[in-house]
Amino acid sequence: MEAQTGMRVNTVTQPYWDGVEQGKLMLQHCSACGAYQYYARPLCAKCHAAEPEWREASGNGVLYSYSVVSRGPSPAFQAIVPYVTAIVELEEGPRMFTNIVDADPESLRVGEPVSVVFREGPEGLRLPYFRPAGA
Amino acid sequence: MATNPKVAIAGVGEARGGRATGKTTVQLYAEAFLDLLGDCPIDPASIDGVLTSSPDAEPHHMFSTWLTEYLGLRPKFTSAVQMGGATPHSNMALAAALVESGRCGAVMVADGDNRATKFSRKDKIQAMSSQVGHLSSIEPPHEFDGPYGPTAPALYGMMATRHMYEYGSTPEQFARIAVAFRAHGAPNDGGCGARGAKKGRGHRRKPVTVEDVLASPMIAWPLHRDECALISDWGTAILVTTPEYASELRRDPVYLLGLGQAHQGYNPYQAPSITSFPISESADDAFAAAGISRDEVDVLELYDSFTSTAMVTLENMGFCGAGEGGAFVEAGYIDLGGSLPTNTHGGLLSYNGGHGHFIVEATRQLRGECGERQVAGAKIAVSQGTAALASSSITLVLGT
Repeated sequence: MEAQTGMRVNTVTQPYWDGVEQGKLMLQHCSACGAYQYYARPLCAKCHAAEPEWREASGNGVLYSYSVVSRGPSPAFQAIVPYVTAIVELEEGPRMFTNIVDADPESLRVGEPVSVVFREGPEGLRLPYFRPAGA
Repeated sequence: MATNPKVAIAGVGEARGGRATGKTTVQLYAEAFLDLLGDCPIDPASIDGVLTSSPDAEPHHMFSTWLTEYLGLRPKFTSAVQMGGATPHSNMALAAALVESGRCGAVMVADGDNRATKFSRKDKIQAMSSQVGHLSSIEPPHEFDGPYGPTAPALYGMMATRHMYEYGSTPEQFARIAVAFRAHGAPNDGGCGARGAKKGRGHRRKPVTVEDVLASPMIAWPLHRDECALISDWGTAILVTTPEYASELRRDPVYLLGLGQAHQGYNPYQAPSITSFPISESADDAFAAAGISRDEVDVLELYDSFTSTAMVTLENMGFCGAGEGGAFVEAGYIDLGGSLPTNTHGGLLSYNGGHGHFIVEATRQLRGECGERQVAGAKIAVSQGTAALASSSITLVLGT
């Protein structure tokens, strides 16, 4: 199965990538223990109940930490340095790996509010990114 | 102190590695093996356990079995372990279990990789980032981080950024760690006392100042080039056996006094914290098993993939409080001559990017063979391995 060109998906990850295409950030939610989790798995990693349900996240969070990359891992990323890799802590609890866009890296502050935005990335994939709230 | 150690190190060896040597990975393993045989007069036929890494630069199916063929060994037990930078530490734990249980009499813990040779200068970071697990890929199982262009320096850069946010540590304090390890690595030519100097093993030996470190090229803010591990060729070999057999082989065996491990996962964004890791658990267990307190440690050899790794490890091991690492390193405690001489060989930042040297150096310090960098009268040496940011931690307490 493909969600987008080049992106292999399966029954576990399909709802996440379908959400990305629709501009929705989807998280798994465990109906047994109430925990949210990122990334997609066939079980809740907290209480081990099977088949967590999918819910749309608010798309809001805070910047947990970041780094400004000067040496990219591939030609596609080397072409866009400097770019910001980040861990964002979502309002629902889980943290995700992402990039911060639409911001001067020097103006970023750990703990600042960020919100999701959907873009096509350097490798041609549509992905959830984050930018400073209100940007 | 533990009165009856059950496991000993009877010998150590290392290849002539460092910058690109043109050697294959098994060649580096073979050099380390021969160096070990020079260090410890064991009959190779008595080596009945062979534990290796699963090399990154030159992967091979069933690597450890291929290595035993290449070296002409025929063990009862062999396996190739993947525990990142803590692979030799993980194999020491397995070797200890094999020896303590009586399943093996003499286990070689070998490690090696020809990363400097294999990864060209131009694509080193790209190759390292993909080969060493921090994949930039859109393919499962990396589709949730790979498309965002992660690199190893960026992940450890985020560790430094968070540490600065939580504790107010400064770039100068992180740089001070590189200054210490470069100073330690400067005189280290890889020579080993009794057997004479073997020139040219030390990889980046020029001493630096804090200003120099901060003026080196930015790799992933806030980490500069001189705060990042070397990409090296290396081979190391350690012979693990019973104290009785070790005493037959040499007059000055080193003993494994305590061991601790803790593992909490892999991905940095899944870790509960990126400044506080289960390093504290593995260290507590290892010190308790050895029956020693932290102030009895004479030498510390810790995995320093980046200055941030070393900062967090010093704190998490309990040698200083959370957030006190910056002041601790600026006070000179980790320097040769300080109260906790750390990475006396130069570590990954100066001597070699290889993972087994921490245990080799701890052993040599305890045998008093380290010349200019010898810590006088060292009786307790700790070798600390971390991997997966620092979500995997293995602590070894060694003693005479």
